[in-house]
Amino acid sequence: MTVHDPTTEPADAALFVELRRMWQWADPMPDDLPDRVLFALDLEQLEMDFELLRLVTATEHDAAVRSAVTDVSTITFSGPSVTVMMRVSVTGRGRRRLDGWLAPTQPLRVTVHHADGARDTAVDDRGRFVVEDLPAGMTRLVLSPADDPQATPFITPTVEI
Amino acid sequence: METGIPRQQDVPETAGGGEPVATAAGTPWGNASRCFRAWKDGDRAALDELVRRVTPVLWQVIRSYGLDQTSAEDVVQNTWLTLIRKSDQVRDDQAVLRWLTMTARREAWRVAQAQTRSYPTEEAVIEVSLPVSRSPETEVVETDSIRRLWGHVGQLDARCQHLLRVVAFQQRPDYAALASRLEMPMGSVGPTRSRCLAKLRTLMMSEGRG
Repeated sequence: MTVHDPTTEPADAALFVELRRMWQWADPMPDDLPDRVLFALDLEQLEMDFELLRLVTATEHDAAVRSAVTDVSTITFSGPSVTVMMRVSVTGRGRRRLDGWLAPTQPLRVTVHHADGARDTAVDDRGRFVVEDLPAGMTRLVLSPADDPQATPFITPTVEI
Repeated sequence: METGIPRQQDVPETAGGGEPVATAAGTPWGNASRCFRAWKDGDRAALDELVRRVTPVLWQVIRSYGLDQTSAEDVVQNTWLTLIRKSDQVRDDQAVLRWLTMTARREAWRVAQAQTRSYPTEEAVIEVSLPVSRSPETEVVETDSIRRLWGHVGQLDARCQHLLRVVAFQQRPDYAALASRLEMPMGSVGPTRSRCLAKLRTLMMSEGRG
């Protein structure tokens, strides 16, 4: 496989190299575009293998009338066999804390996927889980049965926290 | 990259004599096929490399249709989503780049048509903001020559700008697709490219080159 068009004269090829550099300089791709693409692809691939939960409610409290410490919103996801409620607290500039409850209680591992990576925790025997110091932004949860690798994991839609 | 001038890391280099520098396996194009195959074989990390290598090229090709930043980003994202949803449609791993650029161009063309009924003439040129050069001294001359080239390209008609940009980032232009995009007979794309290059060279000569 040759990498350039056989009809291109050598002099043209050199000019096209310059043109490429010019356009990359004049109109560069946004630096974070590949990361955003990969985030979207990650989620798409997850959805192929997971049971998608529905977003039931999301309440956004008015941040303007609350102090940063108590700025809280709640989000509920639901599927045929599990409901997940989450309280999202603002714990600092761009940092979030998740307090979650499952019903019915079941032994699941919770993985919180966010733009910078993923965080993992176990649901306790009362159906609760906590993930602290998360970055604000696009987030989604994957809940995998802790003791049954064959069972289909749950995945939530992406929400902005 | 700290300099204001992007390097040729995402497009294949050509040697001074016009010969291909590397074999397919050593080029980003060859690597793209390898990454795609690895991903299909279950290596999810390979997709990461494929996206990082090819997205800068898709960006350039898509923006040549005069799309604004947000629309161009959406087309980039949709192109990749289409790839993983319909990966079985790419029968030949070697063709994955061609499949990606063609999908991106088809979608970019569709979005451009929906946004403006007329040919998106100057938008692509006008809305681009020239980056403030943060280059060290040694890069200044190079930046100047690129800036001058930019000025010359800006004097070409929209059709020439589009065609040259697509050809620049797509090493083996699909003349049939280009022809339908530009509404000209297929046989005339080669001559049109030559005409555009000739015009550009005339502009470069008339002002002299550094």
